[in-house]
Amino acid sequence: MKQLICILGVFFLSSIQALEYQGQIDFEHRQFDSDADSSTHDSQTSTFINLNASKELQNVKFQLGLKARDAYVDHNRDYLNLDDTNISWQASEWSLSLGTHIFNWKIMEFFSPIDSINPKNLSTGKDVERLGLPSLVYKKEFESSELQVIYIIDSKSSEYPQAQDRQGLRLNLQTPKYVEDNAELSNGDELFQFILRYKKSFEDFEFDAHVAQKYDTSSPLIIVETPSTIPAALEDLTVRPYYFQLQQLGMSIQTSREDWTYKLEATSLNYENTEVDFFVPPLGGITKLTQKDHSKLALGAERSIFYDNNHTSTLYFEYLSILGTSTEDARSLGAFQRDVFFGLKHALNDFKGHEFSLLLTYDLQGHDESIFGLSHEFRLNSAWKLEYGLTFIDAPKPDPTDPLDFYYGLKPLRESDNMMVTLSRYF
Amino acid sequence: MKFTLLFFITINAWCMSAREIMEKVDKANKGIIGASGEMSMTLIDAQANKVERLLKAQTLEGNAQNDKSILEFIKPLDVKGVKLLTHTIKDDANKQWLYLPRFKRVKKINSRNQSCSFMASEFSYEDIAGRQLDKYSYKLLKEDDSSWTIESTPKTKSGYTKLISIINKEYMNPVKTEYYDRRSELLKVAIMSKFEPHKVKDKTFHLAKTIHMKNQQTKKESILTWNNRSLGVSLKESDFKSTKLK
Repeated sequence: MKQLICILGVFFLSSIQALEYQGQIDFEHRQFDSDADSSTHDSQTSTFINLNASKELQNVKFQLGLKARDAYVDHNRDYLNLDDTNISWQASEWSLSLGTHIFNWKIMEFFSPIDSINPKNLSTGKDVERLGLPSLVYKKEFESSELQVIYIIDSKSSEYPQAQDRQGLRLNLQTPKYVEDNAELSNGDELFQFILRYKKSFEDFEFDAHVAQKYDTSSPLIIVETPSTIPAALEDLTVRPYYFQLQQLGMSIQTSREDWTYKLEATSLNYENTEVDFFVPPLGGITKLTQKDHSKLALGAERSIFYDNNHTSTLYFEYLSILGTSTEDARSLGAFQRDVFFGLKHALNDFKGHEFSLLLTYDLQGHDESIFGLSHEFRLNSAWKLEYGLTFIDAPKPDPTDPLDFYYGLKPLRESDNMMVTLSRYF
Repeated sequence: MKFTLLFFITINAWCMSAREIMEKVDKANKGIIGASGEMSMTLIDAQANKVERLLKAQTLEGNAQNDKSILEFIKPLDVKGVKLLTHTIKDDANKQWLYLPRFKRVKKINSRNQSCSFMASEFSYEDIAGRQLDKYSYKLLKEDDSSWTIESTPKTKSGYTKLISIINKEYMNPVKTEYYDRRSELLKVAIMSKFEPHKVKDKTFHLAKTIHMKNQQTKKESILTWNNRSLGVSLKESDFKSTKLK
């Protein structure tokens, strides 16, 4: 129902001429190769809404960002988020903005370790979407540089796929908790959270550095909480993401040389060394866990090739590595530990904007994990677009003797080959 | 005495090199300060099918050929809000950034190769960015009472081997340009028409309202038309930064 209200809202907002707006409604159907398991509801149709509207009155700008999903089968996947909704005061060389903000620090296409400021919506079933962070943002511009001071007013958790969603851990995750430096759990209101960011352009280089103190909503520990009595079934256990206090340093640099664009991204994550209890099912026993300090490094290169027939091909090569921690610990930090990405986009540059995309990620640690995707999109007319694609995921069978092995790397996504068709209406 | 003076002026004009003519043309088009308006582009394929593109454009005139411009896409709707920021560089590749509103992301573009099609039209990014004086060497092919015919050869990387332009002496702007591809074959012909006077302070600029580009090899055409073009507009330099695209 609320999604229907959203659709009506999109039409209403788009009819207000005084507003600057742009948005889209996507009707997507995704079909999985093996959805016979009654515990999952992944093959289904969904409506996605994405709307941005703004209004400027002299130096004051109002901005509204809205994202919503209406899943036709599993309504646990519905959401409605105001992601980039804020009011800002803009002077010629500085601005101050209050509200929720999306900080997009992504460079190139796939791996972007510095782009980890916003909590994420991991349950969209397609692109990972950032969730707006309640914050006060001061920007000061200089001749060829910019300073940002971001005060995070309130913590916001990421949203996770639940048990019926194969793109998650196949667990019902409870509302995340925040781990304070005295090992107490909170709602994330005790740490003074801020980010300082400095960007500078010089010659062909773009440099970007930041220091942050915040709760890490990007890489939580998934904790099985200690029950008061031994539960009869594993499903009765409480499983919850825990966010740890983090001091983060990050930098990126990108430059163009001849026909290539290169990037380097590095980030160092240092956690408050707090230990929490992890209940080891099925019989119990408690292990002390803490989030491990580590670093991430990403390298990338991009090149566009132009053909005489007006076609354009763009090639992407990217590499990601987690450093400063053991291979075993790195496995618990995310799906990718030491991986490469290869991407190819081929645009015909014709009336209909036909574009073909191919992506491949491959695990270099010998786990035989890979994702291979193909898609094709084109305009039906000036307002409608159609996209369809296939995704193949390859991962080895989990080790039956290790109950945690199922959750590592791409193993939860094993046997999740799927195809999708998306019809989009733009405003 | 009158005869001598006339003779001197004529000799002087003949002595003007192609480079000097282009400097004069460049100077005649300086002083725009800032320009804004809407551009519509009609794309026509070889079968005469038509589609429309719509853009908003802002240009800030800089010193020494370092102009800055923002093109904001309005139609087709799937690229609505996409902005292309270009900093033209006097004697090197331009710098470009693309803002993608769907992802709230500013992407740096490697603009060394500017020969690709702009929005599937017969205009390339190189054509849209405009021509900087120092990026070409010039040769005067012909002169008559109303025009100069100038051959321009790119000195930096370009999709063309040469351009031949007929420059109207009254408008101090080209009325026709032929573009030759990497095999030195005629690729495209642009016809500029509907010149309109625009007054900025005490200076009058004559600018074409319409540019009709015909691809001689594919028979595709694109017609670019300026609407509501204003010159002498006061624009803020700080708005032409990649960080301000959002």
